[in-house]
Amino acid sequence: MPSPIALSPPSPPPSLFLKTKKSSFSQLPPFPTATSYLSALHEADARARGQVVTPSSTPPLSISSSITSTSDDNTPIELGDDRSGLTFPLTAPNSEQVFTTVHSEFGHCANQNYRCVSQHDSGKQVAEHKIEEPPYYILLTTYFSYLLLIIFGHLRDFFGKRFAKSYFTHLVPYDGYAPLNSDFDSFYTRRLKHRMDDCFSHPVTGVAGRTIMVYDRYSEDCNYTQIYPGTKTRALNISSYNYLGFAQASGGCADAVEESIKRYGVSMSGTRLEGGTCDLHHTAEALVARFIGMEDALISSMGFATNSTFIPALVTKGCLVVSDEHNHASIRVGVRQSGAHVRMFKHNDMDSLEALLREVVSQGQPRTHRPWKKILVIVEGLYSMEGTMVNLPKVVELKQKYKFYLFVDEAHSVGALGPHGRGVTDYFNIPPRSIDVLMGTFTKSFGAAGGYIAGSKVLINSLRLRGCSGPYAEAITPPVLTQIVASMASIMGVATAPFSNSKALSHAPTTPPREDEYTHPGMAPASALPTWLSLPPSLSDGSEARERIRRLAFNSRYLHAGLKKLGFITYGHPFSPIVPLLIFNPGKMATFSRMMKARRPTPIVVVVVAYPATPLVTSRVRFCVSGAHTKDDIDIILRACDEVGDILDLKHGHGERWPLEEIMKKSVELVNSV
Amino acid sequence: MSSATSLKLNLRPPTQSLKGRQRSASLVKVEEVGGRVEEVLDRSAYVNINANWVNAKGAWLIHVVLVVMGKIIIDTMPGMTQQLSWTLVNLLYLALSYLMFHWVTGIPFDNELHAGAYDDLTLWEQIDDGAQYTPSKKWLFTAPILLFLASTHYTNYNLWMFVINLTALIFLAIVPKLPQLHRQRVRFLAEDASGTATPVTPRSEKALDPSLINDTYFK
Repeated sequence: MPSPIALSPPSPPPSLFLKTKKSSFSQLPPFPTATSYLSALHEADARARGQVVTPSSTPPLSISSSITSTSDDNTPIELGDDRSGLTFPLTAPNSEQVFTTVHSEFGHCANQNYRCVSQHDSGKQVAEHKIEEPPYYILLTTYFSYLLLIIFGHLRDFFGKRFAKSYFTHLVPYDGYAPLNSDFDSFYTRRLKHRMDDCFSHPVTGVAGRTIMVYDRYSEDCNYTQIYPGTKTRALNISSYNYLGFAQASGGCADAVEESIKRYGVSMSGTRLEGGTCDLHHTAEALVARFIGMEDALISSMGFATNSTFIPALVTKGCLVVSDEHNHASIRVGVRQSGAHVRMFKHNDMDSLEALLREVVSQGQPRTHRPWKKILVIVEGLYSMEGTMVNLPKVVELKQKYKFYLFVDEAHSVGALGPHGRGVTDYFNIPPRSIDVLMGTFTKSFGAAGGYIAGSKVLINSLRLRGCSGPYAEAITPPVLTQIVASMASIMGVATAPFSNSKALSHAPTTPPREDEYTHPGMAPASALPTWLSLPPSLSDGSEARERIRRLAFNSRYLHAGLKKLGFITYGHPFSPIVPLLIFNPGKMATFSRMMKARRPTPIVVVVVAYPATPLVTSRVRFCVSGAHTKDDIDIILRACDEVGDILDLKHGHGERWPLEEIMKKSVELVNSV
Repeated sequence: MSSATSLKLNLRPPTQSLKGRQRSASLVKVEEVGGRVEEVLDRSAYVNINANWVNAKGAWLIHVVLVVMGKIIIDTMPGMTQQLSWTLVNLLYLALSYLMFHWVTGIPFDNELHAGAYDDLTLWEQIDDGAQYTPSKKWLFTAPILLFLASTHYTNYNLWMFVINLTALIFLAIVPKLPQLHRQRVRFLAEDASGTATPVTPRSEKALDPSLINDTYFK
């Protein structure tokens, strides 16, 4: 028991999050001082570059300028050999640069040229997304590959049921019982996906930030079983939804979450309407409403469930839902659950939407031709499989003309688009209150989980009672709520933060607000946050979040433009953080994924998607760019795609092509010309 | 006042079997499938990518490419004449396209999304959400006819080959693709009372002793 008159305060109790950092510090090679450690780093870097080793004249001031230790690294740090750029930056930091993040979670990049603002240029028309078609031989070979796969699959099923019965026990009738699974329904899963199962569902450990630690595995019986030798590989992570880089195990948000666990525990132990609501829910919902710019918001514990439980509360039988072709499964489940009629319009095609609206408004309900009770148009801000962005100004214009209700699902676009990170309304500079219902999720940009719906107070009050997650689903837990509050407060900036450094003053929007503009993207007042929540100054004045948003905008544009200039066919908006690269042939998909993962020194884990998640011929690899990546990481990815694309014959784009070195050198010019 | 107990009703005598409704005595019955309201709603909620690919680029050309490849492979077989080769190509194309478009029903994946709404529909009926006279359907209707014409020409209008090819064409390619037969199924000697494969309870002629129901009863 420390004495109350002791001069120094007692040491803080050991905490979950900081323990690993301290233990990994204890595993450092025996450097007596911080300066000697960092001069060794400088020398190792100079040796690696083949330069003459001179003693560094201005050693960095403190060790915190380059926190590169990882959370669960058991190997001692060998400074000269690691050229992967994953745990340490490839360029050593100089003395002025102070980085507060761990490089393997959030990359260190101090070059201010590698930033840009995500905003729609209001002078230009919203560009129609032109789909590039590959040459015929690619499409014909793709059809032929699927035909071969189907034929082989049926042959193997036919002979396997007779000669290898042990593999088919769940698919044939047994002992008077019906088969457990239908062999027809599972045909694609068994005969297509199973062949490349080692490319899916990688077991990982640690934070899925800029890099990810993947467990190695191999299979000796064609992916029926996997064998784990126990080793792990750290790989560059271009597959996780981590747009602003808030997937961190350390930092201001993590400390706040730890504090909230001490105060609130880990569960509310109830549903929202039956005793599971606490003050943190009200705080978080008010903050979300302020962030989005609507009157009120409600939070649900699961992003999928936000759509599937609240859409039935919005529409019923006798209503019509007009939805985009590529809407997410959660929207479809919710619409089907509600019993409303559905009509689909061609993906992102505003002429198709207008023609459909004219048809449904004039014809009314089928058979009776009575007018519809409600017409709700559901679109998404960013489509996760295509990377395209909705033409929101045109949709809002159609809304004024045809007077339907509009529901925008901003699962991927909130936090990732717009100069202030407020989503697709911020990107197009449209007042959010002109849209009836704004829905989004916290999984992608906020490093949390769950979803929200924002709208007018009357609507949200009604949804709280009529949505079926209120009485049946568990309330969202306090630690996740705290992560939401902390990350949102960092993006908005807390208004009473001390204006002690110039960075905070420069948080004002870059363009002066016009008279008819909504002054909605503003900072959060300190009263909107819980009193026990204290964020570090770089987070609470919004400067770090601004950096993240700008890094994300630069990275996404750079990757998109770089891949196009290398000659690949990519879908999606040039500014979207989701970049699908088309592969077309199913065989190349598996090879691409394995080759990327087998690259040394920097392995890369990617997500490949094929039929039936995408249309038949357009198999793709989907890159999810993050603000945690640096320009060096994007260069590594471009180089990897270049080499693998040459081997697999993936470059069928029609535009102008640049060599890789030129793309890497002229990156800023390339991004600004997009 | 007439006695209320004696009413003259023109009822048919009840039959021994469990078919409560009136049934025709014909051998062939044409039945519509997949028209229920919830199935229609389920179908309109999702894009059917099992059937969408026929509209994509290259999906029309692949028929020509596959026929040419098949012809070349069949021509390599020893002792193959031109007549036999063309007839075989024609019959094989008709058989395989019948298997793919008109025999297999349902979608082989993603079943939790559309809840079995397509389980009774063949691929032909799934194309373009059941709309008729669409460009893809016109091509798929024309392709076997063109192949038939080519095979007739190259078999030098031999009568027997012509008859074989024409019969195969009509029954495997023309008739199933007609708009009048959309979602109709022709059933021979249909016996199920409910129309689905539910087990019918045994007739009451033979009184069933419950003690006799054991494992052997079900085998």
